[in-house]
Amino acid sequence: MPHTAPYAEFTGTRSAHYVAAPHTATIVNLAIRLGRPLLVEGEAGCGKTRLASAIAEELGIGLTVMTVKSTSQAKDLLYRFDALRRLQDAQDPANSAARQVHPYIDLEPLGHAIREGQPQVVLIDEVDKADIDFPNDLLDVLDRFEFDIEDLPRAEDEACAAARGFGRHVKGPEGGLRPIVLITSNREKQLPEPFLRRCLYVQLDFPADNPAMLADIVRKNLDARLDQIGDELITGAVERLCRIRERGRELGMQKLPATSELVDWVRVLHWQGRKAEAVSVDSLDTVDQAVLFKVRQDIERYRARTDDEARR
Amino acid sequence: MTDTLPPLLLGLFRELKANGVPVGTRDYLDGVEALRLGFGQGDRAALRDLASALWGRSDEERRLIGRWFDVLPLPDGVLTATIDDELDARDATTDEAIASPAATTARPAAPTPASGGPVPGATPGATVDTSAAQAARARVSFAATREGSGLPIPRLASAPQIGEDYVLNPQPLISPRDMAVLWRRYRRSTRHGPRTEMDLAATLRERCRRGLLCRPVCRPRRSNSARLLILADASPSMDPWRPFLATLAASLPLGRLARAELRYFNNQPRRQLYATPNLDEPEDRDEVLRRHAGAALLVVSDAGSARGALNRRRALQTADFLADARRFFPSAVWLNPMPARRWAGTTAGLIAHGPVPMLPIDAPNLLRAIDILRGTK
Repeated sequence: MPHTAPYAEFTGTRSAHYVAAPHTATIVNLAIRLGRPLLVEGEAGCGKTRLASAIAEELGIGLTVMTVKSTSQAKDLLYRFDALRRLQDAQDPANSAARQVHPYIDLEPLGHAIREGQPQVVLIDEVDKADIDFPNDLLDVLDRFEFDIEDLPRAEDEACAAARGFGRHVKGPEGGLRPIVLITSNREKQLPEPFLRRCLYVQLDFPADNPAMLADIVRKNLDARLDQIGDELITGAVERLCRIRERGRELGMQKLPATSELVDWVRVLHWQGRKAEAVSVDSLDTVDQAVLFKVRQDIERYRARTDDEARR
Repeated sequence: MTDTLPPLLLGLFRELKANGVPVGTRDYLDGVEALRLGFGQGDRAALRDLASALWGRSDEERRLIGRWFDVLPLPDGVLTATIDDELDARDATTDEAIASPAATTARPAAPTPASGGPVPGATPGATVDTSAAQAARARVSFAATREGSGLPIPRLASAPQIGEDYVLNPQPLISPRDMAVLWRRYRRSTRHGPRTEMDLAATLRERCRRGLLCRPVCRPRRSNSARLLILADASPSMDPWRPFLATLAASLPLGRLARAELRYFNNQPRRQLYATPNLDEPEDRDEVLRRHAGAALLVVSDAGSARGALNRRRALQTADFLADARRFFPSAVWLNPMPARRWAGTTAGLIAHGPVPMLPIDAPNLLRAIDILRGTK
């Protein structure tokens, strides 16, 4: 069985663009050490996807991203069989390559990651977008980190191994490493129970009770863009955003502004040359609303509430 | 080495099993491994977070874990510290080999659970010294309450936590996901529509016959041509199963049926059927039936059995409707959410003896209902 020991410890704070809560970092380490996939859930805009790049960056290893589509099948992450090209090649009687299947099979990113056995982070993004069978089909692969290429005839097993470096049964090299597998979900669809059981689970929450961490997150995000923004503006914006979220929750908004909206908002305030003190939570202007809210009803609800309060 | 580990968290694990959480041996072993690697050390909250991360997959399960930790009695700090120091001193002198991993894991912040399992520590195979040390440690964790001889004293949480003990979790009959999986079993795979898929065999034949291939031969893609009409009772007696009706409605679009529609009626399908459970947007019943002619019919209703009523007139009218419906629908099945033993002596009992099979809603009968709809039973 591939082992996982040589991975360094993830602290969550050493990445240049990302800050992970200590609790999150612990679970990431647990997943790495136990060799289990990690299922990441949380509000949109809280950095589910970027957690993967933060881990890769901090541990200094590669990152493979696979974004799942509604038509994705588990097989598509592992390999692809180009039947059309084979048919085309078969038109030429002199082309003997087309008599075999293996020249037309290519490993996809997850297949590569399994075969190479190199330390790396594999991100399967938005797993809930796929069909309901998808996670179940993936379960066995993520459990054992090996798979069969079903489109390859058994007779070509050895020929394929000689020519392409992988046989019908693909697995990591002796003493290879299991990749760190992260799976994100937006809870659009319920995931199957066995799949949930197999993964470790972490929920990324908006750190509303930790303004210092929020400010740190904003700063790291802005540093990446080399914007010179004062601390006052950041702390002021963080404080106001927490109040806006509080109010949004009371109003039952569909999509509360989260970290990514906060970062955008701070940049907008900076460009406009406004001060955080000048922003009143009770009367956000059109630009603020456009940056912070994503759903029309949310904007209208918020506006109605502030109008209501103004009249009183 | 594992022998010397106290069955940490075993009580919690058993509690989860007893509450129907599907955790397995592998989950437990992963927990032991995580403890050995040094996770969950420190304090009680760290151990709780570890347990949540490993075994909690829903809010309810996490609450269960949280509550288990809440009712654990706190150990007496001075007493445990003294005895632990004593034991550490003994560990250091007796057995160097087991000192590092065993000492770290055998000294958790939270005591061994009072709620379950045999008294830990009496593990066979350990040396006399270590087993004595383990037993002593186990007693330390139980001595917390310091009453009587140090045996575990069953007790409740000091105060019930308002807002925690009265959380009601809906337990659906079946989740939309499982229902969608059921619909997928209802398949009639045929080829129809535009020719978009290459027919490899025909293409090869063409190539052999003509000696060259102008273009590949295509055929229509296989797709599900199964159609379904669901008639659901939205009368007040069905109120307890409103969530189930909502599940039906939510899962239908995921079922990949060629055509599926859900219509509601009140008590029995009279002249009109409705588009919503609040009985709005009426449409002529026969119109709907004609539109779905040839599909399968699924009726969901308690047929009077929820309130135990026997109404012969209703039974006769329903039988008439079903006889009518059989002309349009080659296969039909009736799902009754009440258990079958409650049908006798009610209208449901009379209808159940009719031409359309009536089934209660449980896992085997749902599968059977799908089989009937497919026409295989």
